[in-house]
Amino acid sequence: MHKRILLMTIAALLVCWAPVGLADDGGGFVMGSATAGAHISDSTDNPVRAGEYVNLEDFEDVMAAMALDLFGGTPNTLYTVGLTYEDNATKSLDFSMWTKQGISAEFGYDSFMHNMDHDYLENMQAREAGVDDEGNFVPGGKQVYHTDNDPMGRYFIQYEKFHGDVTIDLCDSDAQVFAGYSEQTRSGFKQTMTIDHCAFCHVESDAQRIDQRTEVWHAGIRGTVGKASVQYEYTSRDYYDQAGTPEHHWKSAIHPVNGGLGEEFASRDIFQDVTLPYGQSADSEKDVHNVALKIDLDRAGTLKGAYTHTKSVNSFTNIEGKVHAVSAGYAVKLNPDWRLTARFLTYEDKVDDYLVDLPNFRAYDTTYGNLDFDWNRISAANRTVTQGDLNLNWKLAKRKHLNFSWRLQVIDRDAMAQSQTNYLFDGVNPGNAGATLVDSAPYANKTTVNRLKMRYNARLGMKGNYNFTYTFTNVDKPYMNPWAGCESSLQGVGSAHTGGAAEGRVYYYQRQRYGNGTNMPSQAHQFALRGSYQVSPRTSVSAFVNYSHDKNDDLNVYEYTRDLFSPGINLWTAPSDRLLFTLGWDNMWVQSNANLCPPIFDG
Amino acid sequence: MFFVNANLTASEKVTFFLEGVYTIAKGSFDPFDLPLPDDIPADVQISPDHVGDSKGAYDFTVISDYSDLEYKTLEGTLGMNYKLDKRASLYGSVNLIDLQDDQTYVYGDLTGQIITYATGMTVGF
Repeated sequence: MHKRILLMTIAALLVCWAPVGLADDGGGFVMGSATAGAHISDSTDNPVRAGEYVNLEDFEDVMAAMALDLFGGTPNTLYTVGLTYEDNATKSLDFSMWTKQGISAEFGYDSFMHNMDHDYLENMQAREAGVDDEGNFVPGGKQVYHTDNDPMGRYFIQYEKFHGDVTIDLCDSDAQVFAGYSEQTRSGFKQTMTIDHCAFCHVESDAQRIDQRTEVWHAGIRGTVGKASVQYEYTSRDYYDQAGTPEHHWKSAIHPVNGGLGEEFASRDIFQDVTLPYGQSADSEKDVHNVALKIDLDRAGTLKGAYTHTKSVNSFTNIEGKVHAVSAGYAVKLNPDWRLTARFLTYEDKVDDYLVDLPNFRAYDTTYGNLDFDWNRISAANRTVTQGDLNLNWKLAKRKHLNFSWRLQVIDRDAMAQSQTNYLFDGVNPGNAGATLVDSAPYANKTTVNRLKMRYNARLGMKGNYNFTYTFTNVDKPYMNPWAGCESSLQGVGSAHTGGAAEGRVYYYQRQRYGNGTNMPSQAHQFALRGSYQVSPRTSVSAFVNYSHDKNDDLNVYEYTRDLFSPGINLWTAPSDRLLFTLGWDNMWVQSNANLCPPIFDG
Repeated sequence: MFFVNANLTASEKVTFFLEGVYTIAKGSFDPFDLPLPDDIPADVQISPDHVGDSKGAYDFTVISDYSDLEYKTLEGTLGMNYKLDKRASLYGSVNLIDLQDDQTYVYGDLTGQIITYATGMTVGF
């Protein structure tokens, strides 16, 4: 990274110095400004959240600050240079150049620090209790506790990005070739957490080094033949995580209350008494091919189309994902007052399935246990999306427009709303023989979205304007998590809690969830009103108000609602030629509900 | 959120500028209860190793208080430019970031202040 920055700086300075020399004999020019200064900072209490994007490492030292802005050129070249330096962590450099021979180039570098919070986990401290005969709490049984292995840790990400792009006009044609490269790096330390065997009983955190790098190469060609414009672009993206992972020792699985029943508790774990890494992320590769076409049909309008193919590979698991996308658009002016735009998009996203292979539940218990809970994970990313948009713009009168738009979107997912794997008991035969496996199955596959939008905008002479927008969205079977909350007895004769005694030993999983949950609406109304007005030559005011009401009354255990109200006003005024004010206020109020069914202690 | 931006040209050589943003952010949950599933009576032992009955000693009445969040943030800059001649000027500024954490859960007390003094010279060419 630093070599590239050095090379870019040298190139920028060489280009700048040449015209400075030429400027002496009238062949070039250069203008701009240079700033040199210093700054010093101090903090009190905890500066991490207050200075979320401030370099906190060099506080109380005097730091140099510099800035340079240049715009210059020669008879054959124009260029701009921008440079800022605030401290070692906060700096940027931009360089752009255009030549008469049809070559343009742009390079840039940005760097800043992002400070992150430290969760002290102190809320993870509780213990189960009973009540004695006199009504007093008696602590005992299971508990939740935490371990922070880095209690004094400070967490931050140093973000750096370099990019360079070059475009070259091909001789004697309207064609161009272009290529570019960008590299993002993120380094520093973050807090990583993990949990022990039973979720939330023991939460442990440690510092984890961050060393992530994303490289993107892209190249392509574009050109015009008659009234058609064509472009092809290839993009390659590689992500590397070169940091190590912290490790955690998962303890022997012993029942927290009845410690002697280790085997019973262990039957629900697939590993114990072992040290393993956690917080690991996978390297990945991505290749993208894109072809785009645009045809000018003169008075008959404009036609656009594109095809994109993407292939992604997770280098750790070798799971592969592919996306095919086709889009098309048509725009035409029907008459002086009406304009129509139509767009169509369809894409398919498919990621490999993955078999989650688990040891049999209570394999030692061949009478009531030894049950196979393996399941095939279908990626939630898998989907086929088809979407159409119609947009009609009507010029009602001079300075008054009415716009209607309609979107129809159909999302078809294999993994939409998978149920859980369950067992049904016949109450006669023990163990596997009497338990029928009910595989996970889709609750619904298809989500259909209809969105209608109406917008009216008008000018108030030369002094102002206002617009009003209303949007109604109806969603048939929005994405949800089915059978995710609330629980009841497993169905089946003789199952626990329905009178059967034999299956009492397996009550831990003999419960099934049945509540559907989502934060996606089945209906939504959105209103937006905004306007601006020049009160006098020295004062203008603008204001807005947004209100939306979302609801989903198709759920089986509660009705989801979300309301948002957001007004704001800005005032610009110049009481005199020497004084200028901009004042503003805005507010956002959001209220929503959810149905919580949290697992507590033993589920 | 309130914001103000002001510029005062005090004389041909001196300009003052002021920028300020004051933000109040609040968040909370309503109190909630956790009813047992219909098929589990509230007065039976829920499992062999559970201390207490199925309702247990679980008390959810104060949990909603732990979710309260309230931050007040003031960020402001007061500065001055002094024009030396047509091309050169001096500047000086004070920047303050003040965050007040009124609900100190999860991340501890995040209250903190940062003050930065800056000065320098700009030359145009």
